[in-house]
Amino acid sequence: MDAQLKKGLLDVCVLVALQERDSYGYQIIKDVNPIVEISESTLYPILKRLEAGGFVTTYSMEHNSRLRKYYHLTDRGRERIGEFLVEWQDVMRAYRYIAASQEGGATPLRKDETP
Amino acid sequence: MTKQLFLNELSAALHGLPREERYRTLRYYDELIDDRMEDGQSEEEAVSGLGEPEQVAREILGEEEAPASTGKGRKVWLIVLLALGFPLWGSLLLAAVIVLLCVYLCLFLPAFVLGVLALASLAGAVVGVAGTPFLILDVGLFTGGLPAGLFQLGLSVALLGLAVLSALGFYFTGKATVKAGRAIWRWIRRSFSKKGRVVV
Repeated sequence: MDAQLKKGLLDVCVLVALQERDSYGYQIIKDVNPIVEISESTLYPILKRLEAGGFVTTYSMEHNSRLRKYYHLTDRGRERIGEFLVEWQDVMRAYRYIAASQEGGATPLRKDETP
Repeated sequence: MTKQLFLNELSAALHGLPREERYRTLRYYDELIDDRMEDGQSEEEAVSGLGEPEQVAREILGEEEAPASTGKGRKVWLIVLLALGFPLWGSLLLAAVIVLLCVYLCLFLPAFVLGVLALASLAGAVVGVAGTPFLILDVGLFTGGLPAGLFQLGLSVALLGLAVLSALGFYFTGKATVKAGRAIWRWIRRSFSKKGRVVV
């Protein structure tokens, strides 16, 4: 997958992983990895960027007599997920257009049509 | 590799980062290794799954260097703030320049006064000596005779002495002034280049 594209997808996937409940590094990797491959070293800068952008907040909580850093999705983070879905409607339209051209025959949706 | 060894090597490889950032990174990996082990992996497995410390450090440092665009944004902000703050820092700068000019003026004043005094005394002495014969001979506009002539000659010699003293004073204060002026200029340049480095 294109690195830039993957970066954008992973940002939102991490936000989604925090949607139901606050989570921590290892759990986020376990949740996201089946969808988009992600390593520890990839996640670290993403979390840093999301925190700097105000999409998540962090707090530390004791777990088995050690501190674990938890990430919490902010309202701004929730908005970002919604924005992603809107942005990607265009991408999906282009995808269907390209896919249809390979199958042959199917007419693509025009921009003013809603799927 | 043990967890401690991994973290030590990672810390060494991240020495270029600010202290706090390095600490945060180490805490992140420390927590991950603990969570992996809690999930049933051995310490060896948990550590090796993260990759080599040097490789991990390279990835983190690579990400760190990336935000050149935010640096550019900060520069734009700086320019905007400079423009908005001009009424404030502009007048402060003007005041600083005027103070500096005053300092230089005061610095040059003693040498200037002594120099003028030396020239004036010299001129007085020359004119006085040159006029003495006329005074003694009592010719033209000059009326006085011998006593007045001798008195003027004495005065002229005294003026010459004053001229020599002033010239000496001018020489030494002048030297000191140039030295001090240079020192002040160097100091200003140094403090400005220091500030320049902070801004960039």
